[in-house]
Amino acid sequence: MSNNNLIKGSLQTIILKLLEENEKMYGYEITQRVKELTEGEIKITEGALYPALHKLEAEGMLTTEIQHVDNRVRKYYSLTKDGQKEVSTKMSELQSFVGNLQRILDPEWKPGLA
Amino acid sequence: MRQLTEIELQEIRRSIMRKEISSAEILMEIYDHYFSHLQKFSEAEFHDQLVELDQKFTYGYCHALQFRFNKKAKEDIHQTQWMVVRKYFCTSRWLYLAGILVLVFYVATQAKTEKELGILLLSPMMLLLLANMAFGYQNIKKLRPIKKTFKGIGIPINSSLALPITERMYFPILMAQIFVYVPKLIFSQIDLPPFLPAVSAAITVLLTLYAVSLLEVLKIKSKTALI
Repeated sequence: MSNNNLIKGSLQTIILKLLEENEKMYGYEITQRVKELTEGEIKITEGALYPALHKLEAEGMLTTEIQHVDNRVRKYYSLTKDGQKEVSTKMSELQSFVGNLQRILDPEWKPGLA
Repeated sequence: MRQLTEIELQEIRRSIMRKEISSAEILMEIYDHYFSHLQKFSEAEFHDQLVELDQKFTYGYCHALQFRFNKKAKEDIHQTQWMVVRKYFCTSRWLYLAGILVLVFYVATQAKTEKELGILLLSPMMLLLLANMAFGYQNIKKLRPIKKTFKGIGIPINSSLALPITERMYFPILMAQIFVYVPKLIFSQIDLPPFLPAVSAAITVLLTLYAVSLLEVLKIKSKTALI
């Protein structure tokens, strides 16, 4: 099943959350970490990842660091102070959305019930 | 994870060079992505994986990415400079600003000729000129590894953040040309008004503020970007 459209809306939250847990990451590492955590169920496409990273960087949520690795230059992303604050906001927004979605899909569902 | 052979590296470089990307930031990010991905596959799988990557990073996608990145870089420089300028007016820094104001106005009132006022106006531009030279040298140094990797790409590789900074460095010089030469073209004889020293001092303060804030932007951005 193609779940790209579902991921699209939460891509920024995913990136911010991963960076909160991993201090600094580079583009390819983010795609691999998502793949690993979801056992290949969710694949972040390069087409969506880099524009999202650049957008977050321009908005001041992320800061970058250039490092030389194996004769090439690597760009690491990490959270700024604003980015750290944004993680909790985005997380609660997403959790609230998932909860509401759950209520629509299963009207019997109550928060806290498995 | 394996070490890629020189032939494989050349193939990666050739593949990326075909996309004709001129932004150093985009180039290094794509190259690192290709490198990191292909390192995970065996020599037998290399070509298939390279083709797969090329299908993801198409010419159109790379140029759209570059276009958006350049646009955001421009906005970023503008916003950062504006943020720096605003900081000069906050309580902890207003004393410095007042000091510069007093000093420049004092020097301006001491100036007796048009030439002396001209030198006063030129002083912040000299600062910008020196900064531009230092910036150019630093930029060359930082871009050297990327330019070396993509030698023979056929298009100039530049940092996306470098162009808006250079434009901003030349902006006061352009404005000065307009302010100095355009009135001379229209009016054959201009009598210097008595308030000219004050006007010169005000322009010098504005130019100094502009130049110093731009230097601070450069300092902030050079820590994290390819400039």
